[in-house]
Amino acid sequence: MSTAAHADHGSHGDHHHKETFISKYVFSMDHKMIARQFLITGIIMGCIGVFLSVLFRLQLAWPETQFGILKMFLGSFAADGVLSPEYYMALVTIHGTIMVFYVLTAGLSGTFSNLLIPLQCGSRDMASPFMNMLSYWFFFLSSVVLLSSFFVSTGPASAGWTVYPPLSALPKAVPGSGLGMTLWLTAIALFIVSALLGGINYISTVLNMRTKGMSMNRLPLTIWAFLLTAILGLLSFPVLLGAALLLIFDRSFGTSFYLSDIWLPGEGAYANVGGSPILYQHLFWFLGHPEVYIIIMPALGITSEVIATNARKPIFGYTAMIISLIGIAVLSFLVWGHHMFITGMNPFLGTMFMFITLIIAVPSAVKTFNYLATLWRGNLKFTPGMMFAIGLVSFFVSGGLTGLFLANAALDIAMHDTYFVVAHFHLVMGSSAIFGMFAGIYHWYPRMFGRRLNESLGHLHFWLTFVSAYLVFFPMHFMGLAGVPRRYYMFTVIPEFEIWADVNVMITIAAIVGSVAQIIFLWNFFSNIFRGEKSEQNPWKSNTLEWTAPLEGIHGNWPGAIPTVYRGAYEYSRPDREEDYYPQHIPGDDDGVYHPESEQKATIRKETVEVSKDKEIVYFTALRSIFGLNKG
Amino acid sequence: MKKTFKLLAGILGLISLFGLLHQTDFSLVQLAASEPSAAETATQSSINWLLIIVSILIGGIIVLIFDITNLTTRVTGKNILDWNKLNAWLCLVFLILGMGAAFWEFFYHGKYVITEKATAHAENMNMMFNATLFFTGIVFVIVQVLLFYFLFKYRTKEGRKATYYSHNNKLEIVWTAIPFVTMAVLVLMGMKTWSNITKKSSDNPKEIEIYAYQFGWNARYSGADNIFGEASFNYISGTNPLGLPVDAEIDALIVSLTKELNGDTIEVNGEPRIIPGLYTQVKDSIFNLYHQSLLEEASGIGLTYTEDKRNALQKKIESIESGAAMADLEAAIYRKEKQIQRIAQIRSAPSAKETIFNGSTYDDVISNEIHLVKGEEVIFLFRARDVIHSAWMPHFKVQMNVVPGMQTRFRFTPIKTTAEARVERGNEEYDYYMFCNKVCGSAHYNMKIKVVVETQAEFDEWMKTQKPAFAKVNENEVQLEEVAPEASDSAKIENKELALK
Repeated sequence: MSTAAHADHGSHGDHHHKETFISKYVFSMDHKMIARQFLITGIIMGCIGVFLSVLFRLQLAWPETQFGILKMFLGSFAADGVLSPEYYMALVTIHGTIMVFYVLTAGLSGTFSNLLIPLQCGSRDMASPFMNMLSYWFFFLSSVVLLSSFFVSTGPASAGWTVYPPLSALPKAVPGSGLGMTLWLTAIALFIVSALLGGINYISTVLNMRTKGMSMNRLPLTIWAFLLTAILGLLSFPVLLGAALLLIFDRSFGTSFYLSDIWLPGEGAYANVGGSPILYQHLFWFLGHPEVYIIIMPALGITSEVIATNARKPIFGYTAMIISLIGIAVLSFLVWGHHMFITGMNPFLGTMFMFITLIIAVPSAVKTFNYLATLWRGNLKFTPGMMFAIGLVSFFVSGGLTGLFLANAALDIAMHDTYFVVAHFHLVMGSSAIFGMFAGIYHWYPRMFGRRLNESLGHLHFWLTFVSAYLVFFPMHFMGLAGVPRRYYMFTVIPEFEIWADVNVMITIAAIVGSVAQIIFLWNFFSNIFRGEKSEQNPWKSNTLEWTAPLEGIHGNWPGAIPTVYRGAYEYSRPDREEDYYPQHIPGDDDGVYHPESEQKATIRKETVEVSKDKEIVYFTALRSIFGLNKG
Repeated sequence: MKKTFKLLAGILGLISLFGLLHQTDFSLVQLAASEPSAAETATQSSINWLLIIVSILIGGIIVLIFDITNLTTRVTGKNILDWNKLNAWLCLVFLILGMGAAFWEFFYHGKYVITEKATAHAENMNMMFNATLFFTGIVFVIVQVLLFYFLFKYRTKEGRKATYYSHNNKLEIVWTAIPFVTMAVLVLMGMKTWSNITKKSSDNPKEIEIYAYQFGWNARYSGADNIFGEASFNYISGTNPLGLPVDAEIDALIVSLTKELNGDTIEVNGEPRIIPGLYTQVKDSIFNLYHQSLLEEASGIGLTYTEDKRNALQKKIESIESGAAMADLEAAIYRKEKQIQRIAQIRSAPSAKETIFNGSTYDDVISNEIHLVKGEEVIFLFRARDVIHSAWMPHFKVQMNVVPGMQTRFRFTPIKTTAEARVERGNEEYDYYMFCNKVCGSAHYNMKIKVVVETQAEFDEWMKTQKPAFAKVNENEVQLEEVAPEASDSAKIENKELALK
């Protein structure tokens, strides 16, 4: 239905104006190039984030031991090669910020939404290529601002990635809350602008610019995941922007939204009275909790696609997968209070948040079982992408189950802010989402660069990363249950925690091995951009539309008309076909669904499908007029 | 031809990498040897360096080896590694080893998990924990075993086609319903446990105020009259760090605040010296004079100045020129004026004499240890001075945030004395502690207070040794014991500095 508007675009697609270096590689408006920009920036930020974690892991494993590497990279912040406590906090803070926002939000969702939404939906480009370009450059600017805080004399923000005031509001309370914090807030504000520009684009593209035949119930699950992620982001990021603005006011203009009853040595009693630090936490987690689903949902979408393709089976329970995604998306807005059970809020509120949080486990469980059922009796092809997708499922289960402990308000009293939490979220959203991102990179590398990655290196990368991630995070559960608090600079001052010294050393060594393993990936990724083996058109024998567009990535995606879609994305190994895949764009004499029963039944189905499509058109025309998109 | 060339280049690269490794190795050892002065630490540091570099190089070598296998595959057309088979077997190995390791850890590290019943609510919570562990444990084992077993079993084979199996509504309803029922059980159990812990107590628990600041804790007992004086951050001073409503202290505080604003005269070597107050300092003429004096000082820097001193001077000049110094002065004036205003407001309220300044605070006891009585229900009333802290007593399963400007509370009953805990552990030195568990600044990791649980008799004995924080009668001898020493006033010091110019 949207092809009409873009038909004229497509007809002169091949004699468009000449591209200069700048318009092609720098200020590009082509979604494939923007995806690559997001990915490479995300990878660079990821390297920095992982590197920071290795630096502070050194301190945790060998406290007060001198390391030349620390002095070399941190200078006066690690005088004599020993990390200072303030700078330890700064490293933890920036590691968290980079990984959560810059790698797993922008790097993951930014890359694959940009790459796949137009290609899998069958559109020439994003709804607004210009806004898309702005989205990347705001993200880039935000990254630069964040990293620039490393060069501030008082150091970067150091109040934890959640930057709770009053600690983050008082430069006298911790040095990192000076200029470093201002830069952090500026970076996050820019980041939110980028996320909103991207999100609005993804939503309008998915809703309006699908090719003929691509009804919502034929959309690949990746696109469903990106769509719901974008909606989550659009509804929750503005709240974080509000929270950040109020914090900026408190810091710079003397307001008291979050401050009250504060006395600091050298300063005396503060003039700010009447605010509530807990208000910030409510606002922050109103974004913060949907944010973890913003991170994991695209990874789950990618996994669905990669597992189905490489198992050579339809994804089990396509509709159930969509319903559980929607369920997760809706519930994710109602659970933020489980981060705040012990802030002193009304116990009754705690009860409600506990109830909803435990219920959100149901759709997550359904997704996991459906992945298992998809693997059952498959014909599994272990490409590196497939291995990483499987790694995601394993992490998602291990980390998700520990969430049932933390969601329980009573148990949370004894677990809040301990290493148990660190283990939980690093498995369920950290490692999981990173593995989803790697699955996507290995799977769509040929689509992005037209070349193939070295498979052996991919597998080596997978096994090293997979094993070391488990070695790093699994023991942390036990540390947490023994009462070890997170964000501690060292544990040697508390005799009770000294039993964990060996475990800390083991974790750090595993972390170093895991980080070094990423060099394999970096080598594989960057060297093959130029010298990799040229990929064939559809290397994984996938059904989806992105493999029908030329791999060299032309402007407008398809040289001729956009292919029409005749069936769902997961028609693998159909008994009525000789080949084990059935691409969406190949016309068949069926209605897109395989019926083992009679021809009669098939024709009845066909009619019902058409009726529902009519309904859909009415529905989306209404939606379009609401958004005022009909003119475009 | 081109491929063979690439292969050769790869091998050459590998050889040169080995050479590089050898060379790096050599030079690093030399570096360590040439610095005998910082003997041990330098060697330690170079060894660490060496380890890092060697591990990176090993990574590089592995990459190259794999690259070469890939090249040979391309040249000869033969697959050296069949990754499908290899991965399937690796999955099986990982499943067995991983499950084995998980169980080993469960029993090895599991013994450190705190299951101690040191409080009345611990039993209830342990039960809740075990129930959750039971359900999640079953799911964890089943799902991981199925996942990796499927990977092994259904690995690709020539000529086999996957089963077309796209959905099964009955099955899906079953595995939606099972987690739903499980969750319902957990939710109900959780609600019961939670309300048991958080519900209001029927009897009157003993109240203890826990006061948190960067980076320490104090406990305040209400003394004989069982009433706490209503403290406020407005009254905090060097001699009254908890901000208790002590008239003499507050008078002294107002005097010192007024002096800071208006200036003071002190005696230096028998001569009176005027210390300009903030109102004077902020005047343009005075401020410029100060600026000039600093500039002169900077231009005449002699050899006596250390690097640090020079930097400090430079920083001062910069902060004046950027306007930050002026802004700081103005902010300080505003802060102090407001504080005086607020105190006056509190004191002028008609009921202030009865409700706040009624003398109930004079018998309050401030302690550097928390003493609790076995079997007696207590409620902690938390108060923070500066940023959010969190009171964390792992063995008691007690945790609550301590928020400035907002009172939080936690009620519990300790049921095991420190002496009993010592016997149990076979450690005569063992003590319970309360830690800070919300990041609060640089010394967060070392913010703790000893918790002593004892019998009523021992508690009474200890209480007898504690003096009330403020003497009630003699206002001139007001003094405080065992409290935080760091309450200094840098504004005062700065004033003196100015006066000495």
